[in-house]
Amino acid sequence: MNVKQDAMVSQVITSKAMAAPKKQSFGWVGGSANKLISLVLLVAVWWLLSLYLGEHVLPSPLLTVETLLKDIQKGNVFNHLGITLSRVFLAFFLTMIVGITLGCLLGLSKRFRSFFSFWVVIGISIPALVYIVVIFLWLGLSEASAIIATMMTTVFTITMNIWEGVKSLDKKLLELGTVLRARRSLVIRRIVLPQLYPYMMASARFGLGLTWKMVIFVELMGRSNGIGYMINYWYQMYNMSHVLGYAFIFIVVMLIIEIILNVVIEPKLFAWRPKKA
Amino acid sequence: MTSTNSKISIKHLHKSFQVGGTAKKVLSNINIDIQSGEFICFLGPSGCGKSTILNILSGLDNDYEGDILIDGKPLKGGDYHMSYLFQEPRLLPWLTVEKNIHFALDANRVPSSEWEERTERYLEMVNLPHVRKHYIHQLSGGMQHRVAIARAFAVKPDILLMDEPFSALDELTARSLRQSLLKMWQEDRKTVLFVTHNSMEATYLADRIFMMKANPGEIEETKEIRLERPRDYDSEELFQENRAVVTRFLEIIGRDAV
Repeated sequence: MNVKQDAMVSQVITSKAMAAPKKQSFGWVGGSANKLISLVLLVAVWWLLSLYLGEHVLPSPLLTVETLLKDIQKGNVFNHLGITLSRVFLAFFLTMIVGITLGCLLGLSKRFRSFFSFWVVIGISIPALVYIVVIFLWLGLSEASAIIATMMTTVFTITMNIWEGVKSLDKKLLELGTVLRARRSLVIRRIVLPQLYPYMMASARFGLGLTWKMVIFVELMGRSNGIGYMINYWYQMYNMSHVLGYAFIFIVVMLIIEIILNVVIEPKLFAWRPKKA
Repeated sequence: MTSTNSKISIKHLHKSFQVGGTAKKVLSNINIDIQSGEFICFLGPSGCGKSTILNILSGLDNDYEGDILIDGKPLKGGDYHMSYLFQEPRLLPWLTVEKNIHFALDANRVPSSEWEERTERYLEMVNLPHVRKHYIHQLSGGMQHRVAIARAFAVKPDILLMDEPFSALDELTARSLRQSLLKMWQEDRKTVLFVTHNSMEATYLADRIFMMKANPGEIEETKEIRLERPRDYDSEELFQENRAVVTRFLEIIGRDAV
């Protein structure tokens, strides 16, 4: 027992938090020259490929944006974008709520764990396509089915991640709560949740990323509006520039949302962490 | 000394746990009475169960046999305040120093109107009035211990449990913290139960030392330290007294340990 150990306690907590699986933020802020060059390079590769393959197979960046602007002028794009975004966020929030609840229950209740941990393992291993097809078959091609199908493809992975977080809660800090006779709500607010935030944050990033990809897929399978539907529509018309145009605007919007998550929300949650050079 | 007047009364305390299918006795027939305002040290080799006694008193360990009374009432469900100072400071790294103390006050249901004043007062007492807004990782090990002490006293506990709180520190820091601790204790005379394996520390701090041996954990002897307070860590009397304690302590643990 020595001084190092105290330092270690706080370090363990920190590094544990860091170890939570999370997508690396690519440092979208700061806009260094390298990032700009890499972006230009990407567009250049796209453009060169389109020259090589021909505009019918791969429309050039310019044509894609032109088509997109025309579609926007016709007034359909934002309508579909709005519909898809609202599906993404509804599915995402429900997934997070259910995933966090299940993850906490699995981590905290022995009985719940012994009954349901196996369900989660099975739930993860079922392919997304199976969920989507089965739920559309059972519940019909409705809005609710679309949301539920999207949730099912993501929720168990979130559950697992939160469960990991609960498993690695620092027992010594929980003891502190016991000794101080802190009421349950205070222990949860001050001791449990701060340790779970990194896991929730990682889950949210992962969950949002997966959810918006799944929503597109679900729209393609069983809805008659939204970005996924429009991509499928233009695909059946064999019109690549419209397909890319719809994909492009949606990807841009989702990227902006993810950047906001990285740049605005995360630093606020983890202000207490030692700053690493 | 009848148990009804005692602050803490422990009778026939036994504890064992299972190791590979066989029961290992950790504590055997512990009987002690502690008066209000006493400074008690448990001195013993590692594995003698001295920390276990604190864990049982604090409610962390509920698996034991025997009777424990606080102010004449059963330990469980009693209405008293306890603080526990662990080996490590156990501060919450995501809260600032003052929020850490607020957390303890909140947990003890101290009205929020008193938080500011108490935080200020107790940080002052441990000589850290200027770190209120710091996060824990911004403090040195010794400072973190001071914050932990401030937190422990800020809830104005009836009983203060301390489990080798200074053993992780260098001797100079430990000395100055012992001094602060005694100063604070003399101001409001909490009942303190202090676990240590350092005989000098025990002699310097305690009114009474319970000397323990291991396998199973038992209290072999109770030694009263009658030195006047405030005590001087470098005084001849303390040195002599410590020598007597060490001699006796070695006899006790030497029997089966060395």
